[in-house]
Amino acid sequence: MNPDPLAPYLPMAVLLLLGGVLAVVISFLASFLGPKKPTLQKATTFEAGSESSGHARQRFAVKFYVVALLFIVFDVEAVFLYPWAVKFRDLGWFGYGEMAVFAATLVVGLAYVWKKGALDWET
Amino acid sequence: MKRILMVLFWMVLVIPGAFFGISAAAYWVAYFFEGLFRGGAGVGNILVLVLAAVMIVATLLTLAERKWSAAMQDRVGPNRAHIEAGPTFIQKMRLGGLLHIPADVLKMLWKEDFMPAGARSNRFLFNLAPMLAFAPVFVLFCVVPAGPMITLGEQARKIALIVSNPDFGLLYVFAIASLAVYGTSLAGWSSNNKFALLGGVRASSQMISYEVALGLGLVGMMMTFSTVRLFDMTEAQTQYLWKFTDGDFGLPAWGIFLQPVGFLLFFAAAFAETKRAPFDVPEGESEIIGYFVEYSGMRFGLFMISEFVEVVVLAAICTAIFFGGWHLPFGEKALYAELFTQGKVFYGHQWIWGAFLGSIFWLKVLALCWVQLLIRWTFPRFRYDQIQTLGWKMLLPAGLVNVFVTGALVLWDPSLRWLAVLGIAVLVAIVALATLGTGGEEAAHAHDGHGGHGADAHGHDAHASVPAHVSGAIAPSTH
Repeated sequence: MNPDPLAPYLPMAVLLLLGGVLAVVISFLASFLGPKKPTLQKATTFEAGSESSGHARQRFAVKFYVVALLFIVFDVEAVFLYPWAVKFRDLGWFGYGEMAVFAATLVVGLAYVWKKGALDWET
Repeated sequence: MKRILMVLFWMVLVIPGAFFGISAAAYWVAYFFEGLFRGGAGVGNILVLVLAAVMIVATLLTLAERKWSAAMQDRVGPNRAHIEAGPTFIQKMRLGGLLHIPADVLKMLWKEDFMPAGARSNRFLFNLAPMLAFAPVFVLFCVVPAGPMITLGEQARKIALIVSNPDFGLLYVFAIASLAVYGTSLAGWSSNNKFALLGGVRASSQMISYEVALGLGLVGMMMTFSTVRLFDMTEAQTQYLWKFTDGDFGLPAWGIFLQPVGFLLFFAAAFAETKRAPFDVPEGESEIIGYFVEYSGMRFGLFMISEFVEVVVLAAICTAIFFGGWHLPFGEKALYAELFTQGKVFYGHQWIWGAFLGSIFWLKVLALCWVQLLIRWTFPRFRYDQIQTLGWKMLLPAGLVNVFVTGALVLWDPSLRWLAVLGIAVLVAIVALATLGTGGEEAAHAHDGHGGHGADAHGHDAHASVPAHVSGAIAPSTH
């Protein structure tokens, strides 16, 4: 469809630029148009009406880190699947077997993580 | 009676007519820009498709959501906004609540835009976060095709309703969509508020969890059609799996028939990415209010509107991949031959054909948006551990199995018919489970006494079985 391989990039670049500009303009328009009456009370941290206690720079559950690590592993797997999926019909059963082996190693990883309870959030 | 006529009037004339007009305008604007410089068609499409169509639909969805929730909860919904100036008939004009949209926009723009003291140390990140939430979602529509390629005007330029059709179509969607996580997590962190931080951490963890299923869900479609271009995927869905008559009638090779599991995976994962109920623990307005709790005015508005734009874009991507894009299910070639070939009524007016198919695309998008509203107001919020369990223990293995089952069937039968047989069997099973399963599940539930309904087990059971048999689906009855 595209005789010129660079043809799709101009509109895409224009749209990316427009998205950025629009986001900046809208948020600065808001601070420009609205009134400015800061008070001490207004500037306090919002905690649903009760006195704010402590501050937000605290430790939080390690599970969020585990999820982030797992995400990298399995998202990279998905990324490897994309080029394979597009060329899949040409590669045939051999390519299918190769990818099955690759996925199987990661499934072993998933089974291990599952067994270890890293995916359990109840506790 | 009057109400039914009004609904019919809107559904048959006004909405398709509006989309026909938008599509026709998009074609001619693209034609005009293509005349100015090469690649101008895409730039023209930005103006009409992204800035007009997507943004208008997203804006109207803010009202549609409130109206629809009102209909489901037996309320009237917003209907008070009006203009307090001018002649009486203008002051009395309510327009079914439509004026709430400009009222909300003006309110958000003119509200005080303040920054809490806690966030001042991270002024830059605090300002950046809403922009990072909005911009990626806004540019997502870039690779989604909204109309066929037709030959237009005296210069016989080939114009399609797509901003840009690069080789990496879907990869652009994945790449840009995953950027939105920065907006939410930065908003949560830089607000320096415990609740906002909790919301931000929950949001980022949930979004990356579901990104895996999001990617895996579409691998099956890439395999069946051997492409990642959304335009080519849409075109590949015109072929028939089976022809029922000699004429132009049969079962189209739509993605929903080939990959129902892929659709469910993608839809569920993308729904979780939009962070709407039942996946709205990052927001959870009744408990932590969420990562944007410290934002006021239009900065909060950016978070909100990006959610609705996401709904539209998700519906558009699903339409292009799973529901045949702008194509009719059957009879399209026959219709074209009947109306647009040499000597027929519309011969030489291809833009009418393009705009007609474009309006088909937008109607499908609207239908999928409506499904999302339906889900949003039907299900209660999931617990966070349920969300993580669904993402990692159900969607991820299901996605992997789907990829390899699809692969085996595609290799075994490249005409895709066996894939379709499996797909339709799965669809039937899902529909059967959805209609028959609710009654049985509720009964088992009441029997075990798990849900705390032990005392009124009988009443509950009888109550639950009524909608399962009468309406058969999650749609509420309209009478």
